[in-house]
Amino acid sequence: MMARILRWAVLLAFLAVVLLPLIWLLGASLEPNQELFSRPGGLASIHWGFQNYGSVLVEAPMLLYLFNSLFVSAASALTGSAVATLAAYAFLFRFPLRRLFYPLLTFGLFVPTSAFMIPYFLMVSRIGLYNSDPGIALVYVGISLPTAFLIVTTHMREAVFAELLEASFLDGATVHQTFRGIVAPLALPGAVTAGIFLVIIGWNELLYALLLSQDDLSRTVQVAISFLVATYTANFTQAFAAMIIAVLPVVAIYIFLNRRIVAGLGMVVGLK
Amino acid sequence: MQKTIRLRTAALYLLPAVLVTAAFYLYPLAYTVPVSLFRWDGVSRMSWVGARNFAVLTGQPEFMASLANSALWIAVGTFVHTPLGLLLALLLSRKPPLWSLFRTMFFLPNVLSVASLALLWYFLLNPTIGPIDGLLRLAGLPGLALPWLSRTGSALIATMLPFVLYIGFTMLIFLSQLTLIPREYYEASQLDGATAAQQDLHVTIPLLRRAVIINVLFNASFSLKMIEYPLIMTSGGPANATMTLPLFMYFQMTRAREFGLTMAAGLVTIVFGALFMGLVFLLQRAADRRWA
Repeated sequence: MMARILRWAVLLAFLAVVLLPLIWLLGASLEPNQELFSRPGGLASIHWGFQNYGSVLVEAPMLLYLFNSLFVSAASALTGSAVATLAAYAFLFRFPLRRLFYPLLTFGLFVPTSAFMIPYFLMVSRIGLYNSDPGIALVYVGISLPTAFLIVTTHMREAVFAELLEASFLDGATVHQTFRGIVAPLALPGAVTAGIFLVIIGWNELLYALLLSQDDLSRTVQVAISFLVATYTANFTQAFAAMIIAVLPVVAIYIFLNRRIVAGLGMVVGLK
Repeated sequence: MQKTIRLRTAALYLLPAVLVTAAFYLYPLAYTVPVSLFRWDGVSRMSWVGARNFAVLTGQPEFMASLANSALWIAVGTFVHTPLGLLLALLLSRKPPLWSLFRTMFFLPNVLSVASLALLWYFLLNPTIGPIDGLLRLAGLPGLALPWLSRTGSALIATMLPFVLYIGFTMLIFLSQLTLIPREYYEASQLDGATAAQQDLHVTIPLLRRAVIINVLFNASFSLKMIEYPLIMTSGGPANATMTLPLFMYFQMTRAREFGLTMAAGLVTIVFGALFMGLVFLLQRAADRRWA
């Protein structure tokens, strides 16, 4: 009995740690700034409304930031999962140096890429993509490729039966024809799962978005978030509205696709 | 039996991924070593200083603080965050009512950006408008309603707090390996009269070794990349109390424009990470021999 109560207490405590801060944020984003200061640390307000959201969308170039975030996350997800799917296909076969290529494409998972601020910055600048969405998207393809590759490979190993490949080759199809006709359609769910991960990674990344953008032209929502304390020093509730706007897209993705995300996480680490 | 194809055919499919890996992992790794031996502002000529950059680093209090703090981040990830994730995974693996709702909720913070969580906790811990100090005052503990983020004694713990509490990712990795353990393992020990806690300790946890290793490695790599919490919550202060290696590098690069020093710190980060992960692998092999 005691053990049971203790178990529920732990579960509910962690649930509270997740939910209460978000509820507080949502509530505070709906109230006028003065009220936040008139009842320090309290939890209830009477003048709720969406005026903060209106002002954030009108005053700050929030729509531009949202567009930039959408661009870098979508572009890196499409490119990254395509590159990963192609590479994963090769690993359905045996080929010389196979044992060398697999670790080559996966070791990056544990490399602290924050140590590469300068090389990434110089590379992107030299190809003329500094302060542009494609420059940031390119770096995201780089940092998330090991994740995408592991998801696609794990999925492909299970979705593409050896018999299917054999049958295709018996029919006289080449390696390329087999990829286009049989493997690509079967691999699509894995590529989509990888894409979802890459969208989330791209939407959430801060360091390289910060380093590779100079002005609003390429600033993402996360960069805007990191400037919020300075931007809205006197108007915290507008900052809260901006934060809600910034997390809403991934929350929506998560609500609709959480089973897929949970399964994808198992694929990254090779546990199914 | 897998079909064998020629390297030339495989290369067509591998090429894009190999190019990306070369550009974003191999080249930067190779680039880090030589550049860390120069003094360079990124614009003018580089001047050779040899190993002096490393001597400069060890003489800088903010670097030594960042190294110690990043090591602490890894330690907290390994010894606090990972065990908490295991605890919640074990609780949820018994499938209590609404367990899948709990699972979904516990993972929710892990899909939110660390930047937004950092800003959220900056406000939660704010002494004027923050609800944490507000509740402490309401509870009749005004003495505890402190500016947690601006005191040297508490700032580091305060910046780690959201990482320690949001265990969803770690928990899910444990859960996905827990579902792989065959039922029979438990039936056997149940016949022997083992309690639930004994089963966890003697059956489940040894079988979760692989998930423990994966989680420790993921959390270490997350810790070595940690910049958002200190950057947004404290800017590395007060008095470098919350400085981490990435934040140190970021400031060296963008404010001091010391590219050589930044790369030297980058090399330290990579070597530090490699040593830690190597140690984890050695421990894993020892554990495998012990429980094989």
